[in-house]
Amino acid sequence: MKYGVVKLTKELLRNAIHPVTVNYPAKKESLGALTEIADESRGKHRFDEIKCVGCGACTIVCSSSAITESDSDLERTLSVEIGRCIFCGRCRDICPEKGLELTPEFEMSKKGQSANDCIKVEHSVPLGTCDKCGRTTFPIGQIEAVRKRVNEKIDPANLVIVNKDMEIFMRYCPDCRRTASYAFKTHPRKSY
Amino acid sequence: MELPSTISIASSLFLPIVSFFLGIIYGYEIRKVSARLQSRRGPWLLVPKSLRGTLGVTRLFQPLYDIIKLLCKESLLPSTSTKGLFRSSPYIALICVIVAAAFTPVATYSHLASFELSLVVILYLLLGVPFAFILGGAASASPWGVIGSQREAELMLGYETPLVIAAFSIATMADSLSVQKIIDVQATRLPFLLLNPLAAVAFLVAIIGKLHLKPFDVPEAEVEIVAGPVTEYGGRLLAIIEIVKTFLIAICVGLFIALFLAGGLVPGYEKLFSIPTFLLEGLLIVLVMTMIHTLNPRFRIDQALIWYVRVPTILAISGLVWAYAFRHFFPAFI
Amino acid sequence: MGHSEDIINELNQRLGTDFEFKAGTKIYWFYTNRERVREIAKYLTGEFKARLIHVSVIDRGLNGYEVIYHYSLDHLDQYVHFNVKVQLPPEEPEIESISDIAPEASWSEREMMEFTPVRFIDHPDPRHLWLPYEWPNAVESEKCEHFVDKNGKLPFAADTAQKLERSLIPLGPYHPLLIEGAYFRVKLNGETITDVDVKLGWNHRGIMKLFEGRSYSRGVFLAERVCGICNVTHTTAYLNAVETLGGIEIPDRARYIRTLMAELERIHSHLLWLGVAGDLIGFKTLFMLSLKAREQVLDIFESLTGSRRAPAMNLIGGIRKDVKGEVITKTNRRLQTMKKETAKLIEIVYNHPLTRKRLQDIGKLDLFTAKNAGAVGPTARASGWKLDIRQSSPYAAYGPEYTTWDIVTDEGGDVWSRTIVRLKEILVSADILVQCLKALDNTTGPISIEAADPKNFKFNEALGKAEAPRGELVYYVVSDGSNIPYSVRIRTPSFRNNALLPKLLRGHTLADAPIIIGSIDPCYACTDRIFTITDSGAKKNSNVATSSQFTWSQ
Repeated sequence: MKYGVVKLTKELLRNAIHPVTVNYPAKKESLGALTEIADESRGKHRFDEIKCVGCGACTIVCSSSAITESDSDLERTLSVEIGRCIFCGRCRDICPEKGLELTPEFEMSKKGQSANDCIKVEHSVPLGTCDKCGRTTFPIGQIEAVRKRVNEKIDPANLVIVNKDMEIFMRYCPDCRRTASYAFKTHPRKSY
Repeated sequence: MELPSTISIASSLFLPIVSFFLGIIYGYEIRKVSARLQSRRGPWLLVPKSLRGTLGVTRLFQPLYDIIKLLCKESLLPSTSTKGLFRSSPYIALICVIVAAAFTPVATYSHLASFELSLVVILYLLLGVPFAFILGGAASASPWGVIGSQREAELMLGYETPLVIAAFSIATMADSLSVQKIIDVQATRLPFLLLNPLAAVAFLVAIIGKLHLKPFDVPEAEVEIVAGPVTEYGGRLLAIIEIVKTFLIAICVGLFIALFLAGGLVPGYEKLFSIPTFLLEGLLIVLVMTMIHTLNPRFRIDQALIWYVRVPTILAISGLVWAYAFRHFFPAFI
Repeated sequence: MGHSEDIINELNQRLGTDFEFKAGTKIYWFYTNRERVREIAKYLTGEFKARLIHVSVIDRGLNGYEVIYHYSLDHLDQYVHFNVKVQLPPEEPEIESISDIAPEASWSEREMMEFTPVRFIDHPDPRHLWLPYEWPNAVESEKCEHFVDKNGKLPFAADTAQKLERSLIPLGPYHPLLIEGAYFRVKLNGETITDVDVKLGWNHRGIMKLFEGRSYSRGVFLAERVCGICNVTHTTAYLNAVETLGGIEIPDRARYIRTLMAELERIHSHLLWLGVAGDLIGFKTLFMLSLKAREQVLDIFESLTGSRRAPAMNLIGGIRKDVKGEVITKTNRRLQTMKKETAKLIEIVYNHPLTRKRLQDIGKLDLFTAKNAGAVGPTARASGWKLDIRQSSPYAAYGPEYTTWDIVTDEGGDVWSRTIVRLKEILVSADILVQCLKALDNTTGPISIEAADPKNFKFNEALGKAEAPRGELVYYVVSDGSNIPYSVRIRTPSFRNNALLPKLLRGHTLADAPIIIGSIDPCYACTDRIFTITDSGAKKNSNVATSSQFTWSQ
């Protein structure tokens, strides 16, 4: 029965030479497997400046409504409230442009008085305006991304006419498109 | 014994302070060694350069900083407790233990240790500590204090017996109840650790129970009775209890070295050399106790009592018998 | 069908009417009226030895209430369940209790009495389970007089210290022995325990109500957060129910990855339990060592999924992220290190003289009581009962065509047996993991399929079961054709095991109480999922009560 105590003593003496605790922040070269932070670790968000077009798909799919979008006259801002985020990663999975990633950074605390004082990761994109009425429509990058994707996926026979349509339609807001559609004279099925 | 002069009074007051700092160092060693064995780090012995500004060069006196922090906090008194007894029992223990520290030699230097009955005085005063635990725990009106003080009383039955019998077997071998005389006898002959190892082992195990180290920390079992007799203590009163525990470890280890290891004296060297030897032997004994502390879980109270009767008491009684036989058959050694 | 056909014919003859059978869910539904409930319960639990796994009450608004008794027959044939549904009118929601016939129903009926206006008549202990005993209205019960005074309030602990002879010790709601909040009022005679009253509800968060406001795919993330230790199992059980509703069969590769996650979680949970058990007997070194071994498992989680806990890999229809390539080799290596460290830990626990002394011969649970009171998980397997949902209703890759493994049982029934069962299960789980990783390395295929539109769900209610590290976990999901579930009922394994505690604790000393409580592996986060917090008018509204209404005034 005392064999267990002997075995435990040997184990403990081995532990004394190699403690598990390392200095903060964990360094990769200290002790090998026990201190690595994996690259896939889900931490703070990072919006890619160019790839994120501001479509807002992440705001719809977020599990805890942590990502919100707000429009001003000139730009649309997507903002992630770190205090509400559960780091599930659905926003990263759904993004069509791969413009949002979760970096391994985990130090996200901040002094504040209320829950609304948490860190917010923000990204703004410029909004396009309607040529006719002047209201803001969609983010410019989103329009370009749609154009690119349509060009990749449609039947090549319709390429020219659809591009001509897009050239006109994408300059107006949905209301103006509706009211002035007769004057555009580009729709192939319209008889004139 | 002549009347004490001013120098001897001054030295007697100086000794408890030295014992206190020794106790702090022993407390640090327990924390550091048990942490390292569990693959943690423990308080820093040498603080890394980036943190030296805030933390200082070393954290060797970490138990002292904890006591100072506790002294600055307020102590809450339960409204239904017996307030007089609750507030005074830590101070009773403190007075007992300071006087006992004045009698215990540190590296063979102690004026009062040459008193003829110093061994009896030390053992008697050390009884004040569990006494205070029991009273304080019963006076605090919480069920944890009551159960904790019951357990402390039962455990006291367990460890006091081998402690006293082993101490008296050494006194028999040296033919004196004065600690200074015991040290002097060992200085000319062999240390009693080699001549009477049974009593040494019994004394060591009894000390582990006295200091509430595992496997005998039954009165302060955290998961069962929160903190036992000291549950309701906080702030200044808890600081006094921590000071008492610091003195206790210094006195117990010092007593062990005085009785069994010739107080740190190395034969053939002068008395001044006993100071580093005393420190080294103290650290070694605390190392052994910490290893036992780290390797074991906690006993249940009835298992602890049965074990105490079975092993250490029998060892201590055999040590006593051995001591008498030694005196009878080898009188040349004494 | 085979064997189940014989069962159903026999039940048909005995109980009289025809049953509705929903193919694909293998659940038989039997509709009856409230007078026949006791006779059916007596027959099913007596001769058939069916297990009553839960009693649910669904509120159907103007149509009244539905009381559903879920019986499980999967010891006779795989996947077979038998549900008895009773419709109660809205103006008279009363039904007789079956707690004297089947003790397993006792806590489920108490929970449903608190959530809905349904009354179970002649329940032996109708006190509140989650809400405070005296709020919003005290319930008369003879058990109360041992533990509350005549105003219905629990007496303050201070006046117990004077009565040393038969004192009332509060273990909780805040106590170093508990990881989460629970309240055991223990009656002591010296140091021997004579009676225990279990009161829970300190961790309630209203999860079953939160499910009703979230779509199915968001519900997966909510299910993950019911418990911090068994995240993956809650999502697996929930998805078992939802995928049955939609008639979805997930691809093979997704099955293997789900099993991989579930078994890794079992290993981590059992290692954590070992550490906590060591801490409860005072063995702090074992605590540190087992948490060090557990770090390897958490590192595996992080490299596979991106997060140490709440890995969020499961989604409706399969898995979100594939496991292939170099990460399999790294995982295998880490698994070998973890196995070596666990082997050392097992040797220490077996051979240290003091651990055996503290753990043996206490908290005995014999086989008859285990079957009667409905113990689940390692608590039941340590009494010699071969009960494992992974073999009686196989899901993911646990069936015999995917992996081979054995159920671990032990005969003793005391705390030592439960320790041994959990330690051996770690080794069995490591074996399953090696098989899964090999299969993943050698096969290819899709990892998920398209989820069905909720309007096209084939069934409108389903039962999903999984084997959590603590036992059998049951999700009962009711849909109404929209993309939001109508109602979700969860029965966790700790709910069942905590009801055994009074039986286990009587006669032991206070020093043994922590390890006995710890040996059933209580997870109070799983157990407490209170539904509504009513306001002081005791109406069934979901107003959040203010803190002044919740204090024990004394």
